[in-house]
Amino acid sequence: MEACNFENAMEAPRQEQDRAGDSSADPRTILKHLTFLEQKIGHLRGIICTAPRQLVSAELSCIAVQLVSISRSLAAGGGATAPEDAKSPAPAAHAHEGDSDSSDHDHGHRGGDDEERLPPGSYEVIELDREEILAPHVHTCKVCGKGFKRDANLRMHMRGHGDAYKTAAALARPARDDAPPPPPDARTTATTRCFYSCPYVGCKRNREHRSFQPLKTAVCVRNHYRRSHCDKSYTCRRCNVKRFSVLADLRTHEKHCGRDRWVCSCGTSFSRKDKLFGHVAAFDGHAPALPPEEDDAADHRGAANGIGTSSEQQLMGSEAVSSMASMEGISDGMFADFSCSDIKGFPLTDDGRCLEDGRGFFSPMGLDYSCDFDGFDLFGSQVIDF
Amino acid sequence: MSQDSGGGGGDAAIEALSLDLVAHALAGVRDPRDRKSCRLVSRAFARAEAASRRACRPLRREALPRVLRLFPALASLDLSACAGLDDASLAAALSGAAGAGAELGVRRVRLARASGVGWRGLEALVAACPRLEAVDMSHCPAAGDREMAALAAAAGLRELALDKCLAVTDVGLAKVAVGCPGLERLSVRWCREISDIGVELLAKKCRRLRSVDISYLKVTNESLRSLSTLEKLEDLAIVGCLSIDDDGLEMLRASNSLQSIDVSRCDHVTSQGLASLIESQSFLQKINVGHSLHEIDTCFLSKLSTIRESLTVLRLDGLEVFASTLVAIGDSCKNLVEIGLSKCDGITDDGISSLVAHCNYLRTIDLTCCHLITDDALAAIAENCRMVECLRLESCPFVSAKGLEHIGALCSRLKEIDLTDCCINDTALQHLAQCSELVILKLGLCSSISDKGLAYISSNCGKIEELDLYRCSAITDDGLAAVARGCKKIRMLNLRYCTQITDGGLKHVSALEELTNLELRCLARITGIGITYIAVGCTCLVELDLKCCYSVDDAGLWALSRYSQNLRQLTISYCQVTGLGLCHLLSSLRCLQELKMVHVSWVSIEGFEMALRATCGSLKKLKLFSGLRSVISPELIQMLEACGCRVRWVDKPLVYKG
Repeated sequence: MEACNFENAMEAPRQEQDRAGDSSADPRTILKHLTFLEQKIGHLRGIICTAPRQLVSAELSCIAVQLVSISRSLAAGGGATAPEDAKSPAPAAHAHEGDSDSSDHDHGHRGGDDEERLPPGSYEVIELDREEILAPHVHTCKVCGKGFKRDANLRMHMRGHGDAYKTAAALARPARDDAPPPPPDARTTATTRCFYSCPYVGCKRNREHRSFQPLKTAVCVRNHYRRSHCDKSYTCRRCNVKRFSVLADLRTHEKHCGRDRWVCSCGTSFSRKDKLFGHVAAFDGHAPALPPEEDDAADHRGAANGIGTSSEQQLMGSEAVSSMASMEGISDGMFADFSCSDIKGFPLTDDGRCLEDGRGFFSPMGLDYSCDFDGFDLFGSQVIDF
Repeated sequence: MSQDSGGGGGDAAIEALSLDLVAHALAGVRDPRDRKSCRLVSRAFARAEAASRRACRPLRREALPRVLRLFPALASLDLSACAGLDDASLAAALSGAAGAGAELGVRRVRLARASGVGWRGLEALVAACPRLEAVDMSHCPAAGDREMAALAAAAGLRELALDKCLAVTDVGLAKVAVGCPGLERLSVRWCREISDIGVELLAKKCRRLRSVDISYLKVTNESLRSLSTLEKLEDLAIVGCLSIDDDGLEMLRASNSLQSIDVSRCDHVTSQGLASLIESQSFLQKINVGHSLHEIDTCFLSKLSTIRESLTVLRLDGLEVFASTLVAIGDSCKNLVEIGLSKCDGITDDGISSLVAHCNYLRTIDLTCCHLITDDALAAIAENCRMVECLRLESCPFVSAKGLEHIGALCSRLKEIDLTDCCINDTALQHLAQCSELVILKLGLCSSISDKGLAYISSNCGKIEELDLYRCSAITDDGLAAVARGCKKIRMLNLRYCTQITDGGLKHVSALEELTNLELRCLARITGIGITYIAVGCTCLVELDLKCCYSVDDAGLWALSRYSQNLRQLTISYCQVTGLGLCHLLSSLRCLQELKMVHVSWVSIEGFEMALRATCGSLKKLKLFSGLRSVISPELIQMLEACGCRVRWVDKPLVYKG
């Protein structure tokens, strides 16, 4: 009886799959099925000594039926190529070659402006001139003048200028000031650290200033000089208000510009949530506005889809059931015995207990979707716009 | 049919009475089953019921339009069990009812776990019910700010429960606070997105708040500072707020109307902070400090005496409580009604004796996991607290028949007793059977209980509604026969691992017409025939656990799908069911919300596919074997999820418990 059930259970989906363009011939699907069966066999191995024979045999027969079904679907839809496809391993994902030059952001050096103060004289001060700071590239080749963003790239480039640059010493990373800072205790004893001065006279970062605060690295010098003493040439295209002299600053701003705005129902907008809530608390009748409209639209779409798919699913469900029913010889007469007019037929409860058994009222097969309750059709209700 | 037969003299006599009188008579009938009988007997009763009915709990969405039209006096509507309820059906039902007659008078709506209802449904609800006063939206994890905005349109709202509405943020709370200034009770338990800023605005806008629950929120002392400005605050729960400490409680001193405070699981609250709070509050009735104070200080105990008249509930779960502490509590709090001492270290018979010697009004005593308690403590409780109604004694291994003899003889009002893991025997049950008011009886892991003990219970305790026989492996079918004869009102029955039970036992169980929850885990001897008995007899069945019932086959599922139309939760892992039975089950049960089927080895992949496609759209939770995840077609899973179903994939090994 069980085997016959299996056969029955497999008929309908096979037809379904055929309709759906025969997805089962896809080697990946087959692989998945085989993995699943492997798992099942693994589980079976674990219990084979303890479980009753009946359970094991049923499990085995289920696996066998599944295998047969796979092979049938292969034969039906796949043709000769499918098994070969199944054997060929999935193409290995291309490993992305990391491009070390790709990023030109200098996040690591950002915090350098707020430098702890060292006693003057305990370090060496370097002052770059304006042209050097504003040069598009920090590192230039002494031989041909080509510019580079990174010293390492320059060193690689230098190899092309002769054997003199190929020695290990020339290729090694020069001991530099912006190397990772030595441990605090070693700082005083080791070589004196290099700090940078801003070329703009009168600036606090200039060494002539009375309370001079040195800059830590060359990158800091660049960013400081551009931010403080150059034109703000980059304008935000979104708000057309904010201007920046460092490109990275513009990028940071653009990430937040126009978004995460806290808006009140009166139209006033705030950049911070607590400011908005202060405003709402101060004025009667004001309330925070809900975030953007595009979310709303997406929500709407999603809900519409949801309803659509649910009804679709129900349709498919009842379709499947009707096919089942015909298989099992259940006549439609089974569903004829319900009516909606009787008040007392309703399964209402006071406190969780059922008053009616609901039997014979709602059809047991769930095929009463089309019946009309109180003049509105549950299926039709999805078109109600509200 | 009964109307036709009874249509003679009796009906006419009732018809002669006015509707008011009939309704008044009907109000005396409490049991819904009896009410149903009344309705069936006479049209007058049916009319009176329709005109006077105040509360209703529809189980299917198809019934909703009718309910709203038939009961114009409806004030309370519980939609938490309404299977498949969604925005469209709710809105359509409401518009139909509101369009037909005057506006709806519904005041209280319960939408707990109604995860299909979103902001559109709520908007329709608020628009249709202008007198809305209380809404319960708890456990709708998808509910967010938009839903809150819809609710905020109900200006008359006084009570709102939002427990576990995970998507609600400060903005949503602000919407409600601005829209419903008359709010009196609010629970935002587990709404983790709400912060101090939202609570501050709430306290500024809703000045009439009396009860606030901000448990498990990521809020700090600042929230308590803003809440302390509320003049009418009576009830405050801050369970599990880990950033709140004694300074926060210090701020609460500003308000002096507090009646109940729950600081359990607040790790940074100490005895000193609580003592200073008690000092400022003279009306405190309930204090819950379970799992929070690291030690109970003498300053806290001495302050308790300042509220000796008002304090009725004290919970000290999980703390170290010495006999001296209990003596002090007994001395100062004579009016205690409830004491919670579960999982407390150091509770001894002496301590309990000295406590109950003074607190004679105790009704609820929780001694769960107080391992040192013996029969002497029970004797003291029975002697001093004759009013005791609830006694929790789980895992008190020294409790025996002797102690329960005192309880049975003296505590005639006992309604609930938990004796899980207490090594008691049939003699103990014989004594316990004297408590004829018993409603809840838990006997889990008492393996020495036999049919004889159950026979004692069933002979005198006819009011039992909940019976737990977990792992009482000596119970056989005869015991169940006795229970079914004597305790007709049983609603929840736990028979897990009572391995001797067969189909015959289930035949007896099927006589329990009010049974809603039945757990039959690991009963290897029962088959589809037994399940058929249950399905036919217990038509109210809501939850059924059949895990590891290895012999249950398709026949059981067929019976369930035919007769158990109210089934909401079902577990069929390890059952011998096939895809066909599963498909039939899922296509028939229209209330089924939760289905667990991890290992149903007999079901093929196609069987799963088809069965899941056949579901009626009411499924909310589904537990499946993780191996199936890659095999079942993704669009099917998407479809289920679109209907509001959450699928849990579990990777458990197949084990056989013989």
